[in-house]
Amino acid sequence: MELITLPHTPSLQLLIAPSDFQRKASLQFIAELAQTGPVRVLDGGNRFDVLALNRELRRRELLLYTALEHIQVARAFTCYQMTTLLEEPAPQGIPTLVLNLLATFQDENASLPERLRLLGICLHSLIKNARHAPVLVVLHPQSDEEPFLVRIRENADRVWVFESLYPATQLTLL
Amino acid sequence: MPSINELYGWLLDIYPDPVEGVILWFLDEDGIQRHRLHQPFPTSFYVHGPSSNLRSLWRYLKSLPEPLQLSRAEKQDLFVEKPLSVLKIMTETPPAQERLFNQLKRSFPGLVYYNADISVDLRYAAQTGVFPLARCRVLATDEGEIKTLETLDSPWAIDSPQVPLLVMALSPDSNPDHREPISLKVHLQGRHYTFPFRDERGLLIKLQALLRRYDPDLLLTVWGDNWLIDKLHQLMEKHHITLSLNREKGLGVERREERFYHSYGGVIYRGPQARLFGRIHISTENTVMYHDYGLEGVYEMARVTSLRIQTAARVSPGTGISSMQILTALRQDLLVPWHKQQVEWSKSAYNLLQSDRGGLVFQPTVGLHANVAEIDFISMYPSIMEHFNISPETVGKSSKNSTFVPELELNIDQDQRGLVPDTLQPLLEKRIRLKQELAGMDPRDARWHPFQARSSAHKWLLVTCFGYLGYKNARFGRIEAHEAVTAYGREALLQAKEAAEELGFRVLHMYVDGLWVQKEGASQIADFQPLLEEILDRTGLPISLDGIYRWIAFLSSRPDPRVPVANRYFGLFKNGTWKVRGIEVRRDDTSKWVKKVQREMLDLLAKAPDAGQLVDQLPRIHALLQTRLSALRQRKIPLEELLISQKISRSLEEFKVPSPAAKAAAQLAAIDKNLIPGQRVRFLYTRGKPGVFAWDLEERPDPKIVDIDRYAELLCRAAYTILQPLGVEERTLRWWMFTNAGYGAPPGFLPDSCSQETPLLGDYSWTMHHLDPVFFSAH
Repeated sequence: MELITLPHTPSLQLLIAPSDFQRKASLQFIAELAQTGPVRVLDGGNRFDVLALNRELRRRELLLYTALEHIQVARAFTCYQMTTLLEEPAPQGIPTLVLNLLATFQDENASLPERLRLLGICLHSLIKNARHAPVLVVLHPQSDEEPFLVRIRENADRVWVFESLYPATQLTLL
Repeated sequence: MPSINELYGWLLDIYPDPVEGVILWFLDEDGIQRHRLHQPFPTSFYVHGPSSNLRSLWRYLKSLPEPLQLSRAEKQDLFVEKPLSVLKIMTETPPAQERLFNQLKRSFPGLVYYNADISVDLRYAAQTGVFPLARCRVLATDEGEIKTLETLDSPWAIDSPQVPLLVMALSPDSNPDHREPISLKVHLQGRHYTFPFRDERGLLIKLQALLRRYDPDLLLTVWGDNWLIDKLHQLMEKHHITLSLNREKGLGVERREERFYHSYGGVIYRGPQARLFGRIHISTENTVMYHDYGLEGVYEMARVTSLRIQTAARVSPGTGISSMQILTALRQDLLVPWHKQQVEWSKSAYNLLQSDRGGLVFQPTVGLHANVAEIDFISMYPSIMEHFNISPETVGKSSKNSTFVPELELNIDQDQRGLVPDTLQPLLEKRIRLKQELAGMDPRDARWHPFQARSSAHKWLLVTCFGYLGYKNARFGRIEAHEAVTAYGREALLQAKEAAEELGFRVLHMYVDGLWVQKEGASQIADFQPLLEEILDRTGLPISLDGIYRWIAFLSSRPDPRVPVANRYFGLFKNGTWKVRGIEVRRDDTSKWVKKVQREMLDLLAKAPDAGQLVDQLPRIHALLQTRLSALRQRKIPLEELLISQKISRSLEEFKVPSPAAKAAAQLAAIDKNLIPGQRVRFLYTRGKPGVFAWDLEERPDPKIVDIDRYAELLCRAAYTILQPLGVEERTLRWWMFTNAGYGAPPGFLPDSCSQETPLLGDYSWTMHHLDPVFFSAH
């Protein structure tokens, strides 16, 4: 087991975790990165909680306005919008966090082949961006997202998977 | 040369045809004859993309056997600054267009498609100006081909004549979800018929005879979409008898699958659909807002949206408003995107913090207040969109006369009229005109009911048009426009508050588009008129006095009485009508019995001439609660009145800890009655495990298993909601209800020295004949 670290060098990293953990971890990553410079956040699940981030920044006693201005946020609500967002040229050298990427792919209005095609475009853009800056994709996969997840995993430089700390097994007296 | 016939009549139905183009059914002016006419209707759509891809597409289309017209065109996409160069593809008929598009989106998925998935009713309306139930003049050949069609009507006229549709009502005698119906009731032209289902052949023959004899325009069914039409089809196949459900010969029933979707955190269920051709089928339980606006509202939805009546009845108001926007776009020759690809502008977290807010809420002053006026902005958000020209293409665009949105770093272009305000303007004007007419109309006037229903249909369209600006699948939505609307809304409410306070009013509560104000000596309409004028002057938005309350109670949170809860109140207007929000009587998951008792409590309070004398009603309320509880304990309440109805929020396997509704749904699933998220399940609370009994199980429950204590507790909570503002503590209420304690005195009546254990005699001794013990509430 290894503790997840903040990506600082150009690479495509993937974090797979339950929603509670990823929400907390994302806030901490964003706050950490915003301390030192600009950071780009692409939110796919409309889960980016700017009020919670505000609290996290205050807790760290950062210059609130400066830190908030460091963070550039854009939200996507459909897989088409996520594709468009990722295709937009990313500012060079600025780390990107993509939150809940697959939430936008749970769209009953787009067929599975169409969604896989769009995911292909998204992955292409992510890989391209990861050549110049760290990119962390955060996921909380649902049971029906396996084909999407497999393709993202194949293309990631590093994959972090959340492991819960199980209590030690209680020995019983024979 | 074929001869030409002239026809004056109303448009009943419209649908595509693979040979003739489009079929239109008209009811002639005398309301007797129906006419099936047709018209060639070549249909276009557009494709945009890199030139090389478009060339490949061109070559592919040229290789197809079907006749297509291909050309280059310059068209405007609302979200793009300059016109786009697009490939225009025209097919001979609408079904050919649909088929081709389905093929292309699979073969050329990377291209951008426009005007590709628009229904024929909207296309035809955009081209001809006709809409369902519009009065038209038609010139057609003997073969029924339309040569000229002229609309003699406007969807925005408020006093359109009633179209004499012949309605046949069909209703099974019981809910098929609960038990198999025994007979079918038919109502037609004042006659009633009952056909037993056991005589299957007889039922079909008699029904067919009625259909042939009367040829109704509209089948109004109950459980038609999800049961009756299927049942009739099964019987037809079994007995080889054809029922002429359609007017169009040779066509079957158009079916659509049931589905569910998420909206504002809730799950919405849409049942399966069964639509007809040439004859309208409306299934009441599957008609959106039927309980609110009835058939008249359905007609109005169809008239203003231009959707087929059967479609307008079944789609959400959001789809209705979206259809109106598509119509505006088609008429302005703007491209309608198949999938919106435009995204939210990137903004700093600081800007997001500023802009991503909803309506303004000023928490209420908890307690009872007399002579309070409620002032509401009329259709506030749509009015803001219309007044400030908020539309996806005008937001964020600087121009000579652009305005600046308060709180946001955003301009609104005022030089060009936006698509959204352009769509909303006639609807808003019609609603205001209807409301003005209704205000001065006697409810016995024959126009009162249709006007009310139309106004209600408009309300739902206008309510959803704001949400649609921010909706992910809205073709003409933009988050920034959505944010601009709420920003203007907050500003307008603050301006209203300032105006009120400057004129000496006390603001008790503000909630998004309304404010509750009070002023010493102000109790008549004229006392509030200067305030209305001042707010209109400052904001530019229409505002009205909703009413003056004789008294109103703003409620606090149950766990902490010091914490107010927004939009949870009950109040009695001076005209004797109630306005109630957020309490049990308004909730869908409250049993009929609890609602009934809470309503009885309110009725008793309504007898008090003023707020000061409300506590005088407490002895009667106390007696009422005792009587109703006693009836519950003696199991005299019909089980139907104890039913709880709740929505299933997710599929059963997703529940970690099943809710009572999930447990009831699981009981139904065990007998193959599977519910999907968004559907409601009805159940009783029962003693022991599993604690619920699903009402739609085959067998009837034994009344002895009902969990009386749980229902008593639910009643106690509902009673506390009403009594809390009168100073009755929950502890006191529980004594009254559960320990057989009698009523002693109103809250605050006892002197400080009087302990709770001290019986009280005197003025209130008449209530004490069965007191043992007596408890009092110290306020």
